[in-house]
Amino acid sequence: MEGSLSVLGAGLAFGIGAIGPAIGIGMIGAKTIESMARQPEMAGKLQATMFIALGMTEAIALLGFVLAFVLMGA
Amino acid sequence: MEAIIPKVPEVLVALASFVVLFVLLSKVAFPPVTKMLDERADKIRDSLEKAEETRVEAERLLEEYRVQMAEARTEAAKVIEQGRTVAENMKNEIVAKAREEADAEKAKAIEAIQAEKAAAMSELQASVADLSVAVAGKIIGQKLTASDHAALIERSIAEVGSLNEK
Amino acid sequence: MENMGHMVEELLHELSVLPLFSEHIGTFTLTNYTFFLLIALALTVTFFMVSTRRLSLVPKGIGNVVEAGVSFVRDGLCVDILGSENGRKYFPFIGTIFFFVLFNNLLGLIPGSLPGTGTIGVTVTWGLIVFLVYNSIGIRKNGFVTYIKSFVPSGTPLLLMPLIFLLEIVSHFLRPITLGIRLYANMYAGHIMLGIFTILVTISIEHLTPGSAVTGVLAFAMRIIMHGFEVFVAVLQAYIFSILTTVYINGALHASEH
Repeated sequence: MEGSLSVLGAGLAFGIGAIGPAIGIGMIGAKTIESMARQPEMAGKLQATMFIALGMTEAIALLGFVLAFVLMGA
Repeated sequence: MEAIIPKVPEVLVALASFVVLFVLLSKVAFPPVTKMLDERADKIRDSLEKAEETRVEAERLLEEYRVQMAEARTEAAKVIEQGRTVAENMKNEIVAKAREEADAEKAKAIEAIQAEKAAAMSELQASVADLSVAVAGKIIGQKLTASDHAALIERSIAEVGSLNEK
Repeated sequence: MENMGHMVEELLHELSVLPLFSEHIGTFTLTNYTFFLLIALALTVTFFMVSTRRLSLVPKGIGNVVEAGVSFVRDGLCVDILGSENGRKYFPFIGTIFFFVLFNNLLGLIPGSLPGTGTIGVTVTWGLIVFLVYNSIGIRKNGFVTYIKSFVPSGTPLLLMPLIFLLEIVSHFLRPITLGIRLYANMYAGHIMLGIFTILVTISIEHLTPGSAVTGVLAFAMRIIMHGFEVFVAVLQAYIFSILTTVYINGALHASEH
């Protein structure tokens, strides 16, 4: 029973923790497309910056991922 | 938990293989590729520059030729124009001269004819006088008196003269 | 359904780190992941050895491929972010990361093989290498004191300084971990997803009914589509790993400016 509770906690940790980054990544994508449409000549630079921002946002989701693994073992 | 704890052998293999690959790639593999890329970039840049130079040169030459061509054309037009004026003048001159000559000739001819005519006239007058005296003497068969004679001559002359005037 | 749970368990076991040629994982044991890592290493080396011999001023064939890859990383990534001089200087390091990660990721997509990057031991090690490299670049470029000082932006109130400094230190130490975990999680999760679709197809074939046939066909289609998606993810993750490395190096180079 204890084991299943920690599995539930792990799932929730990642699931809830992924909400914010998911919204963030969506906004990054949307804004990048918007900017690209406005200034197509900047597309290359925007894309590179987008990936950097994407990586940083993703890192937050990854903390939840790690936490999920930690909780599963607990 | 276990899945996110790095295992020592994996760390070692990852480290070693990364170092090996880094040394191999940076010493052996990347230099020829980057060199080739740079070479090609240089070559393309050179070719482009050369092409640009050639294009400018060609344009300059073309412009030069165009100017020369235009000059030659105006020159030719000028020469032709000059030739035309010269010919025109010459023609006028020749025509005028010819006309003058013709006029002179004509005047001379008229003069000669006039002289001829006058000579013929006087000759005719003389011979008519003699002839008429002779004819009259013969016809009449008589000696005319000096006054008759003179009167007759006068009349004949007058007749001939009026004839001549007609 | 019990069958499926069992199969999923088996899949997770297959994807966990297992020792090859021995019972337990010792200091120098070859694991299932490092085995494929070494194969990817051999492939990478072979690829570059073969392709760099085919270089010519007019590119063709495999020489074209390696040139496109190198110029993508060098010109599109290093020079773009670091500038011409530094980009060329640090390209060998960033290029090694990119191509090694890429070959590992792609090798894992051949059915029956695993990506060398699908285990955290490998990816976090590389993250740590990046961490060490960019910090030593920063220290060598700016001097130790200036580099450490640059963690706190100028104009910070004195009272906040320790807090900001602590936060910066934490964020710097989080960088190698997130670098490693991002790559590992993407590869690992991708393979679990592919495995799950395979299991769905297998089960629907084993218990063949008209309904399961439909599920099977759909799962099979998804399995193929997802495989294509994983190819994209493999390239994308290699790109993200290297672009973040480049950005970290760039930050270290210009530490004294902020």
